[in-house]
Amino acid sequence: MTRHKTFRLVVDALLMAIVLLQNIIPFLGYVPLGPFSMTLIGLTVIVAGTALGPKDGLVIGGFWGLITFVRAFTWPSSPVAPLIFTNPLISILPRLLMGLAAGGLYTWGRNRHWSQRRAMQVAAGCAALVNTLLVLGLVFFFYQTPAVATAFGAKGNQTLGYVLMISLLTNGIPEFILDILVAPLIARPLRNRWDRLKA
Amino acid sequence: MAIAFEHVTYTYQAGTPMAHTAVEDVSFQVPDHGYLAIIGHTGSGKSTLIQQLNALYKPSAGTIHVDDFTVTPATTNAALKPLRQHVGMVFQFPESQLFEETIRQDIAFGPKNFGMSEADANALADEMLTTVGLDTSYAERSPFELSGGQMRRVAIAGVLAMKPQVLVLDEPTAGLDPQGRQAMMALFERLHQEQGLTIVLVTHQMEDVAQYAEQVAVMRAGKLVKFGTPHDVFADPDWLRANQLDVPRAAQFAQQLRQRGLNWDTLPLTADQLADQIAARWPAKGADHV
Repeated sequence: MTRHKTFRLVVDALLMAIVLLQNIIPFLGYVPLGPFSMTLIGLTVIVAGTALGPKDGLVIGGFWGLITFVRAFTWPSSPVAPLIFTNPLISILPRLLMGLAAGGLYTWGRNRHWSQRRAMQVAAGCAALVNTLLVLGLVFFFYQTPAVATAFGAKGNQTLGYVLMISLLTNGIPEFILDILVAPLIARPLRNRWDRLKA
Repeated sequence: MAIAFEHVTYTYQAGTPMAHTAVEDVSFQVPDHGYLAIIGHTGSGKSTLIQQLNALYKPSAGTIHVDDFTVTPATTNAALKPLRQHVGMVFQFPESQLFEETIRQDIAFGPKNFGMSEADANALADEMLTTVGLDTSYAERSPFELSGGQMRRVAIAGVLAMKPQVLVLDEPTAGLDPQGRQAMMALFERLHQEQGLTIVLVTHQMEDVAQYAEQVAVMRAGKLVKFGTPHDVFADPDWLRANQLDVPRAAQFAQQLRQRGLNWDTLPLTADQLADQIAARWPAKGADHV
């Protein structure tokens, strides 16, 4: 019992270290795609959720959200960040829920006797959607201003809704695909070892 | 010449106040099918030097020839892809490079990356698995279920699958048990003998240097301070100790015997050479007592 508690503590700490690395080393955290960039940090959160469980997904997701929040004031990750991520509802909540969704959906899928791979893919895809849709949805909800639209790269009389749709297509979809493909690859060996340890 | 370095210098963060020269004015040559061991104290530039061999770092000055390839500071990255296939690099603790779902996929990753078809790459993967001493029953298993020594074999098979002509090994036996170490070194020797691979070995094991290498390069503080056969390099134990290196155990013992009055024709470097020379003297000694 204490053995797998200690293991969990260490793995959580390592995943947090990975999230920190992804923030500090640009190449590991973000892949630039034109004016936007696709993030790989969500992948780490999905792995935490699917490999260990919803609680760990929540912890790692929350950690990422907290970093996004602090970075928006001190070291913005993008021109949009100081405008939107200074609001903890936008920076923290989606990441928190994404980790929870990854863990919860994996358990749900396994209880329905899906294969491990399928459950992980569904969990990864849904978690990616939770993050993207919540961030973009909350931005649309709270920040219907021209300043935010311009920071998102809108030109002339393009509206915020329009640029958010574009960023959904250019970022949200590649992230969604990447997470479905890669998350199970990393999460499966970790999950198997974790299950064996608990048994 | 398989490998020729001409006045190669490499500086990290060149052009900044933090610039640090890790390799300075190094020149040497290794013939076709040679076996070079590179030794030196930790931080002497060995790893930087070997990463020049497949141009992970391009030289800041000087020229490197590897068979038909020439690398200069001006060489573009696009031109280097064939070189990366020609020179197989086995990094320290290569088992941490494994990532695919099955062992077969992991080994086939390299060849596929260089344009081989899936079927050919898989067949090659099975062949390589046998080469490194695992049988094909492992092919469908996850690499993460293996023991440390087996994982390392799979990682090395992944490098061999690209059919390199030059094999660069950065401390390939670090952290292995004695049996694993011996099996690994025997595998490299077999590749060297049977398939004619040129081998470059970075190691702290002087026994391996004495037993396998044909040439030895000694690095100190980024400079090549000695280059020659194992006999040349190990001939002066005091000099080696001053460079924080040592002679192989057989040679140490031979020297203790020399202090007690035994004169060697050539200093034995391996247990076999030592035993041969002692055996050659034995009848003469025995005859005295009769």
